[in-house]
Amino acid sequence: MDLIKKIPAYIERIPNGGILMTGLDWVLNNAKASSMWYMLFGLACCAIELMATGASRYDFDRLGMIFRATPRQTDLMIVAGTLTLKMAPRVKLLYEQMPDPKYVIAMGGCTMHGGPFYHDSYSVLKGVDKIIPVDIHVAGCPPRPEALLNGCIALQDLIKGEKVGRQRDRPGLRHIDPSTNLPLLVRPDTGLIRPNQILMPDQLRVLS
Amino acid sequence: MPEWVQFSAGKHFQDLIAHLSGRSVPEILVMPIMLAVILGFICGSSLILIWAERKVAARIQNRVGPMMTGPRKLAEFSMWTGGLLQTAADAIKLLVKELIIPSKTDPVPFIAAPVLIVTVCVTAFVVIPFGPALSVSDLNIGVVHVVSISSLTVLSIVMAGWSSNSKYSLLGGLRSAAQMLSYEIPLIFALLGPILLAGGLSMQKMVLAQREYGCWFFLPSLLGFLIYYVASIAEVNRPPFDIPEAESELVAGYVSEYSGMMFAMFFLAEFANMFLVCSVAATVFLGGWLVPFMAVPEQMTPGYIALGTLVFFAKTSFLVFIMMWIRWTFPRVRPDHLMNLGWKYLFPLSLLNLLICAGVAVLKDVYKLNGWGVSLASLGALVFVLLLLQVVRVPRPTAFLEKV
Amino acid sequence: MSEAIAFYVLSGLVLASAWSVVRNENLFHAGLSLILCFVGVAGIYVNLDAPFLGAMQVLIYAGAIAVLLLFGFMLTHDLMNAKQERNQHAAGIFAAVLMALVLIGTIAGAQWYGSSGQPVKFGVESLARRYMQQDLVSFEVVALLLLASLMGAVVIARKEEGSRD
Repeated sequence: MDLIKKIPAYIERIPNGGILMTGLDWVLNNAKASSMWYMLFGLACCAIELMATGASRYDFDRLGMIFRATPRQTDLMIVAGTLTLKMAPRVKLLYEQMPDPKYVIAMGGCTMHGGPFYHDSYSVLKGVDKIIPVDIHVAGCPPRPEALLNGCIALQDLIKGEKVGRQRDRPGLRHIDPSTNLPLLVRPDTGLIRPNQILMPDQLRVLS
Repeated sequence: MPEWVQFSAGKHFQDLIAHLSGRSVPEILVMPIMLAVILGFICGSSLILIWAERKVAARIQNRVGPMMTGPRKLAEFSMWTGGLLQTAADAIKLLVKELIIPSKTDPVPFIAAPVLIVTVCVTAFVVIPFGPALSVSDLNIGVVHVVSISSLTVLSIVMAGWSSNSKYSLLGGLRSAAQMLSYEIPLIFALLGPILLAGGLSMQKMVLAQREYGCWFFLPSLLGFLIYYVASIAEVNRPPFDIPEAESELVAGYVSEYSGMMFAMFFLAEFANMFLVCSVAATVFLGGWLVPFMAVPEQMTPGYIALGTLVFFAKTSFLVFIMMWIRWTFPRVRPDHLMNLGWKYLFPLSLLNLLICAGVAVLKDVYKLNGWGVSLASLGALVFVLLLLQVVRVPRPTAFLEKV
Repeated sequence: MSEAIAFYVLSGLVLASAWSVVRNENLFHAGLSLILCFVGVAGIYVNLDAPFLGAMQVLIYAGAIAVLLLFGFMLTHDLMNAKQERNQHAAGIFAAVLMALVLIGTIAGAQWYGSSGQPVKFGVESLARRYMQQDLVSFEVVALLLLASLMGAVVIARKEEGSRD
């Protein structure tokens, strides 16, 4: 199987082979980007906006996006809403049941850093990128359908930049602090912040 | 039967090769090529039908449907010219998706099920007359061939449902087997009426018999047409009879565990089957390739063949469109309602249809009535019997919906 | 020539799948093999220029009866591990040998009427004539028998009046 994965790299070494691969890339990437079937599930109030985006006024189908109820036939997981700690293993399981190539859009503030539950909640996962790699974050509480559509188009652009036979730059998970076994938020300007630590007002400004 | 009807696409092809190469070709070499042609046709028609389904759904739901995939200039023109390459993109995407065979499945039936459903579909298409002298092979058991081969579709669904080793798939397979028992018998009995009128089972003979009668068989056998149409919607598992794959209760029913290309094969077969049942309905009840208000020439001309093929596709597309319309308009029925409908209403009515058709055949043979006379007589008989049923107070046809 | 090849291939298929029906431990696989066996027999019918019979074999046996069988299997408890019980070897072998003896005796003792004439061209008409004119009485008797068994099944399956829940 390793040999098969290397074939595109070999073709590129042939004179003019790169052009062939570029054409193939173009066809496959456009096909993948034009038919992102998303999984039919919603966690909280963002799901209402997700439904609105699928309905007639905004119409996901314009982009070729339709929902499938089973993870086996989906390409895209839109995590819409507050992810509680109890629900998190299920979402991770669903993600693992999706066939490759798979993409994730985190919709709304809760899925980015816990949103309104950031400070005092014992039951909310502060960001889905602690358990599954997220390609696109859509901000808002909840984001309007236009924002979600914008996120989908951004994801399409991301897909169109992929190359056959090369591993995509997968977004990673958030760091876990080995001493406390708690996830750490890595931010270039303020350094490491523990999610349950009490933040000073100047640090809050950075986060918002 | 005129001589040109005997010719089939397989024979044409054999003659062409013989003409070009100068030696005769055995049939065993021609058949695989013809099957490949059918497979290509199925794929092509499904590409169009899936796009059409999404557009019809969009129109019914006041949306525009796929617009971004395909030529943008055409999409600016109207919603019906947008997203022309949508299904092609879906197909390519499904091709490059990962193929997951879950570890707890039973691998042999799991892989065999999608293969079987496509095979069954291709085999059933063999006898469909797409135009005058344009069926792959006009078997003399045509109608029975289609019905018997497509009854194996259920087998594939049961295999998929069981081998997936998931409760949703299993329930889907179970429901499909139960559903099959309720629609299969009305479906066959509804076809018996036209078979009786035509006096044969061959598909081309069906079409020629309708020319002979001077009316399409949906007039003398109106009840049969309606019953066949309803039962065939149940056969292809489309809403309102999509009980085996009910999205809101069974995830995706028997296809829950299928991914990538194997799912694409089920998807393909669904639309190809829809085209199949509609083309059978168009052939048996709507005159097949007979052009309305135009006599069939004694000597076949290429012009008439082209026109007839076009008319056949127009009739089939119309029936397919009605099926899509029904799909996006009606809610799903419950399994026991479908059983009630099939056994208590469609089955007795199909027997009534058979009786009326037998009377019509006698009128035609003994009293030499023409098409209009025959149609009026049969419609009159139908109205009379239905009125009689009202007088003697049998349960109304919708009573099964009220009795929960 | 090609008919002979088809015959041997189909016979091999029928025998192998029949063996699998008996020997396969997995109940569901045995059921699928049974369907394969039915389809193989249908193929032999088609090979013998009886396509109507073949289509009927597929429709009634492979399409309806076998699916009912599988339907029954799927309702069994712990279905992924449903095993066939095979503790009746002696009785099975005895029955098989007896059946083989009867068949061999019949086939060896039969007088085979060969004919140089062309085979009758198949038509549904001839079948219909046979059923509806020549053998009408026996056909109707069989129909009556089936009706009686159907009504019997309804009576057995019906719940007692008043025990409705």
